[in-house]
Amino acid sequence: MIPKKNEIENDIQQNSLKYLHNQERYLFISILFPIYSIIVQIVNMVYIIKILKRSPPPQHPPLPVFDIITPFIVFLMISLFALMKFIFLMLLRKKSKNVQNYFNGLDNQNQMKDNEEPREIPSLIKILYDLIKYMNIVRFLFLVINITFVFYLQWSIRFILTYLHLIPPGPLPPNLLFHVFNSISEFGLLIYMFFEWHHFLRWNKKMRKIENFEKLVFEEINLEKNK
Amino acid sequence: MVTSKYRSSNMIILSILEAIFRAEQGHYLTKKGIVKSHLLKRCKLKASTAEKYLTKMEQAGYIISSKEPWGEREIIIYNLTEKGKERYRWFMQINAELE
Repeated sequence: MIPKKNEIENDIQQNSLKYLHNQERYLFISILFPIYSIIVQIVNMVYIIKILKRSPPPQHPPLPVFDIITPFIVFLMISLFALMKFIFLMLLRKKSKNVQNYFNGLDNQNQMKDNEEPREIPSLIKILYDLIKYMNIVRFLFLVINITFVFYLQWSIRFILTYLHLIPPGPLPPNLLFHVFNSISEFGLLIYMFFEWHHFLRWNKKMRKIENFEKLVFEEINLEKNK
Repeated sequence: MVTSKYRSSNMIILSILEAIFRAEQGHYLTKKGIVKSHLLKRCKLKASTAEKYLTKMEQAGYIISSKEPWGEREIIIYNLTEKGKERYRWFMQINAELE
């Protein structure tokens, strides 16, 4: 009969590993859409560069600075966001694997003798706090992405209005494929933002619980007072 | 910043709880706990920092220490109390809550 203590440890291990794998899955999925968006921004930048190389026809005004820089800004911000997530995903995978390997060999490895030196054992606490650190960075970048999204939306609306002849055309009228790519990108970005907002609202709720827990422990331990 | 003050100390406290918890699981038949020197190495703590935290944690009722003879010397063994186990499990449970 297995003593109750090991069942508790097993539960903690399994739940923690499951959680880490869920976070890996979240990071992986949330990189996929930015890849498409980055490709679309590259198309937009090529289009902008093409316009800049041509002299605008006399009857058309030159392209505004805002229209020129927006795809570059969107490209940079989304690339940075995706890159940070990718880096954190790789780091988290490596740490999860170490923990998994450790737990798989736990039965044989953890029977320490009295004078045995402790081996390097991966700490779940450290990994969980590293994950909190990564998510805090991603959360900050996400806020910046929200602002970037507003820029992108304004930029795309202007070009759509141009295509629909609702505003005077620019130096080079954008073609249908340009609008299709950007419309898919924006619609996708809208869904992606919703997905990320949903994730971070739940993450923030969990962080509040953790912060309350930390405050409770800090006060119980009473580190600031000398007895 | 208040949050980082709590966080850095909590990381140490929880690492200590984790190390003792794991050592106890490994010795579940004998309930041996963990030797102080091993605890310091496992948590990668300086002696002065560890001393401060271990004393406070014992006063708060998270851990309990006992002395055991080891040859001509005495070693200090640490075990978790029910409160300490509860705090550790509580943190792991909050973190593992699926979003």
